[in-house]
Amino acid sequence: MSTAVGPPPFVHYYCACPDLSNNTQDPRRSPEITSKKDTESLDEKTTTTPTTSTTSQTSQSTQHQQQQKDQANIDASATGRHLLSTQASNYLYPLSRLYFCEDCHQIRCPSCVQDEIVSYYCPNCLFEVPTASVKSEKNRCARNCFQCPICQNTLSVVAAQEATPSSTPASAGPYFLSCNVCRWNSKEIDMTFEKPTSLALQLQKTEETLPDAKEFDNLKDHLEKHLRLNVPPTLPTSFLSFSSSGAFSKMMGSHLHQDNQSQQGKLDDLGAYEPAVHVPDDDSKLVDQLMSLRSVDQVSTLSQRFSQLHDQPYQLSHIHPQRIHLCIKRSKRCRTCRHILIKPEQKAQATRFKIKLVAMNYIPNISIVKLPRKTWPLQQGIPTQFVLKFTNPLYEEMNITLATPQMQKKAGLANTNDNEQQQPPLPQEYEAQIRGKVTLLSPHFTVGAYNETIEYDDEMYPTGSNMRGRSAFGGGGSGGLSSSWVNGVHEKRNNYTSIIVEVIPEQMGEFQFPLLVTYNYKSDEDRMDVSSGDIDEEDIEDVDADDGSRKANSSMRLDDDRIKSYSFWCLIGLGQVTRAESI
Amino acid sequence: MTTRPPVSSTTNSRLGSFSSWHLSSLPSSSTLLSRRTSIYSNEDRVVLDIGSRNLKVGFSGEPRPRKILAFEGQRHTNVCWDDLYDLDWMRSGRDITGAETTLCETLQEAFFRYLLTDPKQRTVVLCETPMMPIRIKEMIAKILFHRLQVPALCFVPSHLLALLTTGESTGLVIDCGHLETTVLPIYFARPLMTSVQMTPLAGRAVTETLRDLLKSHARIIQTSAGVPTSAAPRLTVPDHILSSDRLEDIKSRCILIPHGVTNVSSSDQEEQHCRSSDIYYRLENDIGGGTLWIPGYVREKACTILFTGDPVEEIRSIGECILDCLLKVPTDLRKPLGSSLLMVGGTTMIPGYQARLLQELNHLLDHVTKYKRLAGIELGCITDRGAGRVFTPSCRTWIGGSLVGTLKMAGATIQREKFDGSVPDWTMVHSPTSTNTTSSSTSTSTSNANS
Repeated sequence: MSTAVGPPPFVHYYCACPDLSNNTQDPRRSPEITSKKDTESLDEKTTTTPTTSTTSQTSQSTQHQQQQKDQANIDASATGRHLLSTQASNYLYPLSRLYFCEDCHQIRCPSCVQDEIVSYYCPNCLFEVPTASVKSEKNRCARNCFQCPICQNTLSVVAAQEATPSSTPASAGPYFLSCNVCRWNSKEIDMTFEKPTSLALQLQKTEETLPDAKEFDNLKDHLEKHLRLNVPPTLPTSFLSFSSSGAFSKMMGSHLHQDNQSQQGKLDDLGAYEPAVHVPDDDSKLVDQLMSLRSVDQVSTLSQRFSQLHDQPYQLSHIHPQRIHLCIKRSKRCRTCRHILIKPEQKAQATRFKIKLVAMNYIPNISIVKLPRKTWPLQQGIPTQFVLKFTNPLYEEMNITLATPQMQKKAGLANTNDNEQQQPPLPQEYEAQIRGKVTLLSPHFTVGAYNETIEYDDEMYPTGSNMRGRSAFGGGGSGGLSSSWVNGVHEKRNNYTSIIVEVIPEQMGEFQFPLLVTYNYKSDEDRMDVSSGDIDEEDIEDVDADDGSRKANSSMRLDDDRIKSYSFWCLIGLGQVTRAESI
Repeated sequence: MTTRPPVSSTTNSRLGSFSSWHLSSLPSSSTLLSRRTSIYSNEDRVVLDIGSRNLKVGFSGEPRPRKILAFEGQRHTNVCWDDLYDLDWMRSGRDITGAETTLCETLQEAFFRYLLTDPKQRTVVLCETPMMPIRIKEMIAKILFHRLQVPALCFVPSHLLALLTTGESTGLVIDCGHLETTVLPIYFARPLMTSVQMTPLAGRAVTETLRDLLKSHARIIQTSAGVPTSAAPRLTVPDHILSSDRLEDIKSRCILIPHGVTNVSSSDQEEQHCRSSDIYYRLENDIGGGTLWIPGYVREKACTILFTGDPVEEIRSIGECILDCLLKVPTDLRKPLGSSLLMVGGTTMIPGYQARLLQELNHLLDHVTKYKRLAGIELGCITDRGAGRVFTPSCRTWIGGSLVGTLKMAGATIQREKFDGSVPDWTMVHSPTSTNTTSSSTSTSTSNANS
């Protein structure tokens, strides 16, 4: 066991949303869908087309490149090196946060979807709040849900005395609020209630009579009066706008000759203001109080203060419980084609989704598996093998081709290229600016189809040996790959395939490398949503009608009407590289 | 509600009597106080006050913001920026996309987690501080229009908003936030922009001072069972203990500004004369526990930088800024402005700030020859009269924005359809004929002032 604290290993998927590709000032996100589609497809071309071309080109010339160790890369963005940049880190997400638009046939990340509100509910009592009362209740629960002023957990209403069977319920009071987490209770701040119900209403009343609310209304009336009296506007729009110096000269004129322009003189003078309240300055008292302080326990933290924005008190005892803030359910739309990607059930209690197009159901799920008896965490200069496990969520078998950014082909290693005649063989091993070398022992392989019975199968045949798994499921693939260790396939069963990757870290620091994943599968029918199975009928029709536009998308190659292909980048992090001598 | 046309720019009767006062130095008015019916909805607008440290958000017509959201630190390989932006963006070597992502996520969170409203239906009122880099303003507009698709956005000057909350129209507004302190005189609701003074001494400077002081003076007490606290070993404070979150916590809970302390005494004397108690601050989040012992001297000393300035780096103190500002305004305005100081911004909420600043100002008036010309001016705060401290200083700007929003005063409004990537920029002087909507000024302004 290592105690080294470093970044944990991860697999992040890259969303090629328009932001990065043309990071310029032009309004990419204009509401006009047509123009957007254009930029979108252009972006796609710039990002993915060169990728495929360079990979194929380099594969032809791999031999020539052998000696060119320091060959600078032609276009970093084309080869995936851009994934290591700081900009790209804003577009890298774990698979769980990504969506997949069927119409665009693209990954969609949180920044390329549009949110819409479906319903409001209280996260504590799960009461669905109608839109009308959301506004009047200021986005807070109008029932008996409160949060603790100290620890922001939920408070419960407690009776001061236990209600005995003999007493009537009314005599059980007074009631107070109590926190089950930090043991705070509202008796500490002298807050008790006679009835255990509609506490929110009682609290809200005090909220409305706070001095700042009164003063605000007073100010509003004052300014409103001024606005009514003075037709011409006065206050400047910005610090230095010379847009209408007329008003200025009027002001000055009136100021100098108050005789005949008295009316205009009022323009700028808001008039004498009578405040509604006066809140005295108790700053010096607070300073004295703080001076003799020995421990900070009685002083509120900033977040506690921010829960009571009208006075933000230093004293913890001045902070009151707040009603619990409501939550919303959101639906999400693809910004490009306006189709809905996520649509939850409206009811607060229901966790089901009416539409759920998450990337997890469309693209292979990649996970990192540590091999037994291999050094981990990675050590400088020591070749380490680990396993990348690709899980297929589709009902069709998947052909996967992997590539890492190309830098220099290392001589004398590996094999593989023989088997793939139908596709250009991919160079399998590169040294990149990534901190070390990455070797994909098997850049091309198949992953079996998903079917519902797999889960039961697993139960029936608990993890057998690799041989058994292969005999049962391997070899049935179409790629002509024989699944053996020679090809770097570690395990191939059910709907997943594990392949072996070897890395040689050369520098200290976090080890990351980009990986281009291209997969294709045969879609044998028009059934669009194979795995989630809960798409609306009409959406399916829309999808079919949209087929033409999809062809324009360069990342989609429909060589055969049946074969669908998609490629995406991901960044794989393997944690901190330690010094070799540390063991 | 009737729609009133914006004032036509009829220009005449310029006056030349103020020789010391260039006419062009005064911003003239346009249409903030005019009423316009909103094209979209006369519902509440969303008021945003975006600072470098946090974001205040809420609906217009309400006396307080709904939520103050802190920006999450942007972590890159080795560096971590806690602030959304820097005053000197170009020299900080920062990547703008990081800030954009942070801002975007925070705004998204503000709308969908706290306001619970669809941004597509809400006009946004944005409180604009004078020193905010133009690129940040453009970024904000871009995110609001493109990502959140708000129908319209209007910029309103923050100092003026703060002054509105006092009900007066003349005052010297001192905004002491996180990155910088700006002093802006406002006379009859007109910001006298040419007299604006700015110093980079504000919350961040306090945090840095506090860090240094803690490193040199505070100690960690490793408590263990059986050993009394007094006998426990005292260790110097390692860097990782002083994370920015913890510093912020110590800053907001422990430090104070005592009154009646002059700057002349040497630090040794100060250490003896400090009246504040030492504080034992528990380090809860670290395994092994331990207590941070913060001497009273550190608590009192952390804020001194604001009032002494930095003579080595030639950074003016806040007091000097205020007096320099008064020197710059026309003579007859000095008196009304000097008696109407208004302190806003989060840093002014440190206990004792206002009293100490007034004391410092009077000290400067008496002892510095440069300020002899200001003799006879009585300095006083607006908050000492009228409604007093009814609003918290940190929220005053937002509250002003809320007032402006609910009264439907029109500022420089950009509609989404007309947004071309540029935002109004007060440093650009437009011709009088240009309208008050989108200024055609392109982005090359130099708001990233650095003294």
